[in-house]
Amino acid sequence: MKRFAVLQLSGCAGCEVSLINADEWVNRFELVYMPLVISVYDVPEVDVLLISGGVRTDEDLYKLRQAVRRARQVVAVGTCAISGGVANLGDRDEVRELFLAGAQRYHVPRLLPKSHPVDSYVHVDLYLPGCPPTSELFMAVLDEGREFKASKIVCQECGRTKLRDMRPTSLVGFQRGHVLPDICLINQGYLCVGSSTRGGCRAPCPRAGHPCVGCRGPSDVFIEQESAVWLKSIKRVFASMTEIAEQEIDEALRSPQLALFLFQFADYAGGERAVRPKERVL
Amino acid sequence: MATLTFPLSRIEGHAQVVIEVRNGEVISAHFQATEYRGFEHLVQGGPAEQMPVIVPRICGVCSTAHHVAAVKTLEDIYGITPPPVAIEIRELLMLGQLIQNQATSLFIFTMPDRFGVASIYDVEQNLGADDATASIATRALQVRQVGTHLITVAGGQFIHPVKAVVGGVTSGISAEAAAQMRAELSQMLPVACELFDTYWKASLAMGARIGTWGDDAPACYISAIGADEPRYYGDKVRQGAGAGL
Ligand code: SF4
Ligand code: SF4
Repeated sequence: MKRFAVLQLSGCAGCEVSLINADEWVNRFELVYMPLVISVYDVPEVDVLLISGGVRTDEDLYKLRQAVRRARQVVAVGTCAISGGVANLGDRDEVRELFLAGAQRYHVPRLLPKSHPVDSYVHVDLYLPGCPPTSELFMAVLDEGREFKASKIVCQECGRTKLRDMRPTSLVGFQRGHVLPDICLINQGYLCVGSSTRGGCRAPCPRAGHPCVGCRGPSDVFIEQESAVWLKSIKRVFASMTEIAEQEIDEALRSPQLALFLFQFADYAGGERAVRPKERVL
Repeated sequence: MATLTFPLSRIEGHAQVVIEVRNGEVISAHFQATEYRGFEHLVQGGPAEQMPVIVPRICGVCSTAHHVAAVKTLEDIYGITPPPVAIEIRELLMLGQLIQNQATSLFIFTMPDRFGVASIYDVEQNLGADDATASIATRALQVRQVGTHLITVAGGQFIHPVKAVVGGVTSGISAEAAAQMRAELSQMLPVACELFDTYWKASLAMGARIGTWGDDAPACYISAIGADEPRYYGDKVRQGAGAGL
């Protein structure tokens, strides 16, 4: 039986919860380490090590280095492990000092200056983006033999229709209006980025009437390039479907809710990080 | 002086118990949460209307409560009352959360202690399968799942809901989805009850084995209420044991 472990670094445990939402693995794979559900204190030898959460503290870093030695395959799971995640919002100039000072009031392990992706420190064999990835995506990782089909982009899984003659002139946000069923959210003036976000999640958000915020990261076309390329393509879609000023879109894409996800694969601009090849991203 | 540190498992979050010992005598024992989320700082300066999508990430186990709390706060600030059907959908969201949270807390976090094993996955393996323990892990996960399905139906996304927005919800629940959900819930209810009976019996047996585990101390129960019944969306809190509001 394939043995796997889940190393939980600094995160919300949503990834783990998504994993335990699937029950199909219980009799087929052996879960040997995951503090959320098992009282075991060290990661034993495993076939697959799933890592969730970002490297936020010195303790995270130590645990990470110890754990990967005992694993044959290392998988970075979720936005936090891939990019540092929501904790990156604390790395903005306006709040950084407050954030770090806040931590000092508690008995917590020493914080690193920012939350780091797992691959800043160790080799990652496979990336599983999503905030969190669905149970189906977790099963696709564990169950290599299983046929898993995902669309290239979220739009193809969404089922809403794009209309030619419904061209909003500004973004509406959620302060007014109400969401019409079946019609593409872009036509309705919502900032949906499903047109270039990788598929596989089955589009729960736009189906429920909330724009896709891109938690699955960019589709294969953009994943090996810096984020500016992804952002440009989103702006191109809005230019062809709406009359909304480019600057308005640009500002909105940089607001926290979207920036959190739109930059997750894209920290190449500084030039120090190796590109994450699309073959290694599920 | 020696310090003993025990990392805690089967809880949400990271924590440890630290015990200080001098000359063979315990001089202090602390519970320490070892993770700092700091959302109160990291959301500052962000657009208010984005909070319902950002703050559920405080915790993936109770994300729904953070989603609803964020929306209620914003509506309070803007002085907006959402339509009744939106309130019903949010209540369903909270109930889905209640199911998945209770199933996690009872069956996954604390049930293993009743059986003296490391995890729910070990119960059957270590103790053999009788009526109570057969496929116990699978059944516990299925009960959790039905809670998550309700969250998905009422909240859109399955862990970090998105449907509640200032002034209402982004979509309703179709009659078809509602019927399917109802069927699923009534199918799972007996499974949950059976698991709970197992839990209860194992708790009594554990009590007989190791003595009290604190549950004989006077307890005070509180619940959020609506007009006259428990309502998780409500904003009044009632204290049990006849203490009134
Ligand atoms: S842009 Fe969004 S709403 Fe429109 S089809 Fe794509 S995913 Fe659906
Ligand atoms: S629809 Fe978009 S935001 Fe929602 S789960 Fe899928 S990728 Fe993430």
